[in-house]
Amino acid sequence: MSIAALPRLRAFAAAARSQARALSSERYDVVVVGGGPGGYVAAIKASQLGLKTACVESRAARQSTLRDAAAPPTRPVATRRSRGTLGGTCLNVGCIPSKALLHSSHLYEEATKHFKDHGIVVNDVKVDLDKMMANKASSVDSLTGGIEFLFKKYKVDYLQGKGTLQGPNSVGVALNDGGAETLDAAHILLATGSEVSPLPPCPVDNAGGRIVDSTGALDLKEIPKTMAVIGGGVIGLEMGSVWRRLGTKVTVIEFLDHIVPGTDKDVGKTFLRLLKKQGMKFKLKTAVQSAEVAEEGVALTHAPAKGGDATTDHFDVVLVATGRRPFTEGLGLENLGIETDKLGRVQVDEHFRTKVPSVFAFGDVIDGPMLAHKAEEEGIACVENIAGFAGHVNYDAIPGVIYTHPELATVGRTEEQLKEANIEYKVGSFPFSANSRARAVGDSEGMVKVLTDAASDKILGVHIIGPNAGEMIAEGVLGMEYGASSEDVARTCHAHPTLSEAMKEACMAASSQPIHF
Amino acid sequence: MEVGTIQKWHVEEGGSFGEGDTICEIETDKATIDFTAQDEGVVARLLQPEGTEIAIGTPILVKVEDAADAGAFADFEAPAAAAPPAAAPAAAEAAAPAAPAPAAAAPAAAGPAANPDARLMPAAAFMSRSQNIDVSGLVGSGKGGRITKGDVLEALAAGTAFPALGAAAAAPTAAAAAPAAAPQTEPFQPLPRVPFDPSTIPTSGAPFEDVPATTMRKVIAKRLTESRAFVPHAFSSIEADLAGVAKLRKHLMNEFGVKVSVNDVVIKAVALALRDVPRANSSWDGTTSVPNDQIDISVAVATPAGLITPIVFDAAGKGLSVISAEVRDLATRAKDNKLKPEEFQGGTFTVSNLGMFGITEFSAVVNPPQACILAVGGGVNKLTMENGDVRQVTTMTSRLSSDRRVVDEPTAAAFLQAFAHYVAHPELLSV
Repeated sequence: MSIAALPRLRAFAAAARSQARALSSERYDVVVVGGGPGGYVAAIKASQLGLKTACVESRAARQSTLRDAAAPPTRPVATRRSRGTLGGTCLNVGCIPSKALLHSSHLYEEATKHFKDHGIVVNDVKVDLDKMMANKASSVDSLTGGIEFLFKKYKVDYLQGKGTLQGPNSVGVALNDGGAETLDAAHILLATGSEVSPLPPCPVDNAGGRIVDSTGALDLKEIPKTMAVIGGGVIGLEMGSVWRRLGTKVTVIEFLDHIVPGTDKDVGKTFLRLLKKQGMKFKLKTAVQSAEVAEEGVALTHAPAKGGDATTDHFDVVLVATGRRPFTEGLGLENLGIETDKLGRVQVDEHFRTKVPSVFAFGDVIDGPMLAHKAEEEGIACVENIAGFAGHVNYDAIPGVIYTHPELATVGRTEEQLKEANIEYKVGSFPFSANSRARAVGDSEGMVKVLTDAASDKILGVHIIGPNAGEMIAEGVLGMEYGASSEDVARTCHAHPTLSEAMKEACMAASSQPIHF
Repeated sequence: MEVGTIQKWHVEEGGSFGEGDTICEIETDKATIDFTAQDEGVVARLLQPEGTEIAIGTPILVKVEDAADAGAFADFEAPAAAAPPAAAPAAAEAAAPAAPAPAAAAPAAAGPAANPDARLMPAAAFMSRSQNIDVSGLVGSGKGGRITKGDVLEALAAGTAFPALGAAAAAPTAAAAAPAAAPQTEPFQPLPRVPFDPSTIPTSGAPFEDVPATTMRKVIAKRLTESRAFVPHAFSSIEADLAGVAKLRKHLMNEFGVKVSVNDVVIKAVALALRDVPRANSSWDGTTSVPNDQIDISVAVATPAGLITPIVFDAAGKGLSVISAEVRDLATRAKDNKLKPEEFQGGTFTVSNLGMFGITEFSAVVNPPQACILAVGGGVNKLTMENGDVRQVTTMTSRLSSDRRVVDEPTAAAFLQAFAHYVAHPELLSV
């Protein structure tokens, strides 16, 4: 298929629309179920490629609360009704609100702990949690509003309601405002994302505010004195960092003997050391047995993972962050015989097609890292395939970032993976303590580690702990995308003084010698 | 390649072209090749007409990036070959035809103004410039076919010899494919080679085993290819009546217990025919034909390892039984791989006999520097007309392959006539 397919597709769609159909039906080229980063990006792309597109999203905006009254409303109250909100988990209860709180709490920590090093004397620095939360809410609102605007700009029909598969070319929508529509679709894209995996011993009750998941942790009414974070992965460490900076005593409880599973072990150890230095406590190799809400807080009972005596500690708040799982409830997969595996993931081929030729799926709802940008790449590739182009996702060059401070960012393979694959590799490492910019701003914890193929010097993995690691990793991703060797990056000019020079020096270390270390 | 002819322009003055468009067809000494544009532009001026032969390095057109600049070149004349025009407006470039680069799957090189680093990743470009090697012929494994450091390292480790940088416009010259002794008059020009993609072989899934070629087979393959490619083969055949040979063999066996084969007779007959027609006993030394002093007959012997040709030296001076014994000994030792080099290197004429396999007639490949090889078939019973009567005869067809530079048709005819005569009248072999 080629771009020549487009006129055929449009002609087909136009012909279909001109047929007499039920009143509430419109023939779409593409209907996307789910308006998160995977879904909305796919919908916009589809429309840009000339396909008639609709996006169905059931999430409703939060109702206004007393807290919101403290912040100026973003629009007159009269028009604020229960409205849909796009952006999925990421925008509403994930990436965006957590990054907003991480930044706010980071500023507070800088002010209280480090300003004096710079000769800035501040007394009486306090946290106004309501304002902090309102600030977070307004950034979420403006972004979700922004996506609605993009849908209008690129002519994507936005349906606020719950989508259900009714047939290979039919999506039923139970509208949030009442009523129903049936959408006739040449292609149905499932992008319903994921939800928090429940941990049976610790039943989550976000409204109660005691045993919470990430959604609840983003909306606590007051700063807890003590918090247990169950799960030493990305989400737990980020949320734990937020509250630790605001004054909470945070203890991370993890079943394995290391945090951030899947990350390069050597990098993970450095990361653990840095987090501990910041005052986060860790109980590794520990299994949680039960959590009960009591007067004096949550009674959390835990024991060594390999067995042993249980202990009960009390925490103001327990955050359950043991993972997420695909969300397909009420989607109607069974109507079409589409199966999910034992982890709940929809099965697709390399074109994101399910066993029903007109139904596709991508993002958190299928296999692969549960990352917003992975969902976006897949959404675009899926739509490009449908439109007759050769969509492609390079899974070897998808970065992962943890937005603590310092940040941790990685792309490509770890030393463990290379050893297991019997690939001979070299390591080039450079600490930020030797980077001029990092020293100048007094933020020099961490390092850049580059792994290269021993024979060809091709970059196989980049791992960064440091300030702005999440931005810096883009250079590593770009290099890997082009099949660059570390010498290629080393021979590229990097501005001075910047943190990115650490990447250059690490590449020099991998291919010859660093200058500054 | 030193000269080329523009067969046909595919662009006009003032016309624009995009990357990958054909600009013109260029006829080389091997083939007509499309010269494709490396990037887009507008033709300001065509500098060479169709049909004239031009030297490598001669500018053929002026291209500009902006159509508005095209008019500036209305009266532009091409400078001498290999000198790019000076003082051109910033946007203009002249594209000279570079030799289409054969082999190694390299795309045709662009004009001197094109960026040679465009497909090289930085480290690869550094290696290329530091070591003065032109690596642009490599197939790149980086994104979009970019040549990476690893590609260059791997090629160097495999012993690839790169041309020097700056010599990219000249055609690479491979080793001359000379017959053993003689230098060639002109450098060896390999034909453009399309890399073989093994994935295109449809496999049935049946099990198979690759048998690597032995050195012997590789040498045979190489020499045969060179011979067929560079020796102009001419062929002539003659039939010889085997009645006399049959009678002689029977006589020698019954009366004297001497066993002599048809091939022994053939060898002796060839030797004497060469004595009579010495021109057929010459060699080609690269520039001229050189007569050989001796008549040394190479006898083709099939061994499990391949075909080898042990030599019967001075065959004209040896009796049939001596030839017979020698050939039997040489053949046995050939099959056991026990021949000494001097026993099969050399010779002035080759005889190859497939009669024992039922072959009636075949053509053999000349074995340079020898000028001729005689392919002898087996005896065939047939009817023939003689003086209005039908007669049964047994004839043997022999086809002579000869190097046309050394042995012309009359010489070949004369030799074959003599040979057939000796075979038909084997009593002459002892005269």
